[in-house]
Amino acid sequence: MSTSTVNNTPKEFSPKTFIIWLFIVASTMLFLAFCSAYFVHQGDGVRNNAWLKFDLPFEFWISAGIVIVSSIFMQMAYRAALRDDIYKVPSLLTVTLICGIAFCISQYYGWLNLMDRGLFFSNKEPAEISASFVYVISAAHFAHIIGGLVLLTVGIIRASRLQIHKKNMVFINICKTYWHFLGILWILLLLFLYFA
Amino acid sequence: MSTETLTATHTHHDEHAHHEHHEPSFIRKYVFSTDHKMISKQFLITGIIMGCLGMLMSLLFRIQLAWPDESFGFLETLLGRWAKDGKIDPNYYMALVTIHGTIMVFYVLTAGLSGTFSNLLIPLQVGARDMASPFMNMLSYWFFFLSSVVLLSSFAVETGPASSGWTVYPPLSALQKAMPGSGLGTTLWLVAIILFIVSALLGGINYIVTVLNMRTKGMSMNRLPLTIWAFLLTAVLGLLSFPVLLGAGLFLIFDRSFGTSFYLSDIYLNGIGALTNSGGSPIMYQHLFWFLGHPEVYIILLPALGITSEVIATNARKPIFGYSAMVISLLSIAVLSFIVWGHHMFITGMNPFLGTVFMYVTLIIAVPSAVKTFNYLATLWKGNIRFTPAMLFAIGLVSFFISGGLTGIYLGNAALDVQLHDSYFVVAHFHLVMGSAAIFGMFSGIYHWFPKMFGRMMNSTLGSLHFWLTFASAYMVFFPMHFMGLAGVPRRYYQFSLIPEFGIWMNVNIFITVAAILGGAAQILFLYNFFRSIFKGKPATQNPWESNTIEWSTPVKHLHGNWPGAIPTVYRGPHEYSRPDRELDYFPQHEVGNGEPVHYEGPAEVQKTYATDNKESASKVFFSSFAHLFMLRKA
Repeated sequence: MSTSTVNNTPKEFSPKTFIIWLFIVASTMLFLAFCSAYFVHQGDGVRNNAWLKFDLPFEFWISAGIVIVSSIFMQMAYRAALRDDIYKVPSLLTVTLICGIAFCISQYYGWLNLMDRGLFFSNKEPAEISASFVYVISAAHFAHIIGGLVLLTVGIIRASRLQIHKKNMVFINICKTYWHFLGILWILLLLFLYFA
Repeated sequence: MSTETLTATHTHHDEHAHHEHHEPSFIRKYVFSTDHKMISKQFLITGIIMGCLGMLMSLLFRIQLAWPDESFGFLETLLGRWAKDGKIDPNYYMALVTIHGTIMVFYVLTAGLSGTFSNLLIPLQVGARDMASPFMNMLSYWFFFLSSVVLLSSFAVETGPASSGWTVYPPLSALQKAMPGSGLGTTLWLVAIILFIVSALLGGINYIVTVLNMRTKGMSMNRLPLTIWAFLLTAVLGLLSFPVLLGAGLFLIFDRSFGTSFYLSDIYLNGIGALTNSGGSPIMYQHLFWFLGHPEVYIILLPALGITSEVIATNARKPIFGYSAMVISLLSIAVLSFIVWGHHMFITGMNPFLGTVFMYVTLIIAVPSAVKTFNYLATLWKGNIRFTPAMLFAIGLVSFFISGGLTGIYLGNAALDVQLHDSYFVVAHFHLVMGSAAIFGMFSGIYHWFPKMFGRMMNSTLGSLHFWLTFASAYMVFFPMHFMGLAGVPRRYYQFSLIPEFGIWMNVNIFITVAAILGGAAQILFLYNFFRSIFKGKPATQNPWESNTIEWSTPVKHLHGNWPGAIPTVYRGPHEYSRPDRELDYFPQHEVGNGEPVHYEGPAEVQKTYATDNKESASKVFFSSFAHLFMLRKA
């Protein structure tokens, strides 16, 4: 048996980073399922005059702004780690986390806005199913954000222990990838709901 | 222990190897283990238990079908109030059919098969110390276990388990009062399936990453054993399709419990009146469900086909015929499986144009499937066959794959499917091509890799007997169902004696049930052989089947980290059997050899001889070949 070296996989694309990419693929499939169902329902609803068109809550747009800002801070944290500017990393990740929490609050107010207009998750009239879809899609994204906040919290703890630096970028790379995914996903979902 | 030559990718796993002298506690070793080999045993044994339960359920409803007007005291003893006066309650009959299907499709042939062999073989055959994330792997098993417990707990519910079929179509599944099983039983079914999806995704992500990122040196993709190709593609299918089922399940939960109308519209419930739900579409559920449901067929089948490829090549002592064609076939089947789901829905009022599209893409699947079948047969042809129990089961799979696959061509045809849909023809088709074929692949894998899992051999005589009894009974059970289906006998019916038109099939139903009982009894042989061999089987040698793949280079005694020293380097493909230039009829992938052979095309030396001895010009050879063709010249 030979005892030569093993594997020439590039370090920067570690198995753990690959895992988060595959998770993103799975999540994307879930949202594609929701969006396909939305399309099918919308087609039927419009034909039968049973599809309520309504304006999305303005808070959802504010959320989109927040998520863009949070992604900028996330990227700054990543670059700080890459430069070995390790004392900046915890604070930048914390700002990202705060932005994430602000996003959640904004979403919550968005749902309150919907309810104030009489658009509830459960629907008494067939046309209200469009509101149910908005709740489902935004709530599924919200659940993903909660996962991202947990990830960021762990990242802040690690960064505070100086475990995130130029030579140990795997975790912050995972955080960055996932957080940017969530941001892009929300913007795409919002545009989908707006234009669909 | 020398592991310092490994790169960063393996650092974590090498830590296991360095610390192997620390004996883990009982809980860490046998319960919450992160070792892929132990997790594979956990999947297998849980899968076997679930399989036995699923099979017992099928025997119970087969008894009902064979003797619908008889009373059996033991049924009342076994099922209590669900079999008053010795006769199974109609709602409970539906529950048995539903949970039998769910268990067999998801818990045995998805988790039991893929979970067991992906876990066991991926790290061992690609040359990795463990999975990419052993912790996620452990979670995958425990989510599966929890899911199994939740599903089975529905038998303790007053209104019984879910009863709307393993596909849980709304509105039956979406209305809590539609039938007894639509209540808490269906809620538990949905919770169980969501836990199952989490388990499948955790496992699948791990399998993909391990195969693509953690292969040992020399293990290029074209040297991967076909088992690994199959497990990889299975995991990709699961990754892309299970989230869609999750979406479908969530909508169903919202309709059931949160007052939405994603699937519900214009419903009148007897005793309750008209419901307020409107605007929903139950057909949308079918689209979402079958977007998983059809890839699920291949999630079940591909691992079995991969296992069969390895077992047949090893036991025919020949390279698998057409390795590249086998890989391309697997890829084609995987891709096509995503665009054929509509063939389950031909009778839903689908636009005929759309139905035609689904029909054509469905029929195209016959091409890669036929390639695989021919390659299996060509591998067997003139092989030096060793009829081990694993080999028998692998050949049995090929048989079922052919006989069940042929009827798929009938059902894929929209015009015929309209007639055959929801009849026993469908039951016969999928039990042969998916059920029996996949379970035979699983048995083949168990018999073949038992020595690797437990360090002991299973009894070969009992294994062969198990094969013949199971093989015969499977055909006796499912073959007659084709004729019942052609005659229009519908599936899922509780009591055919109430319908005089189907009276002529009663004797066939009795025959099928007796055959099913025989098949069930044959599994006792397997259970005895399996559990006895774990403790008292003949000790295994390191490479009992004289196989080429590198899992057989690990010690018989398991190590967390798999290899005591460095991971072996791979020098060739997995099927270098019976090379004329070698004394032994196998050539392990990791054995240093005399240069790189040409894969699957015969020994390099022979080709070289032809090339170097040929002094004639190419044009002369070309023209003289016509002379040879018309026998103007002697060879």
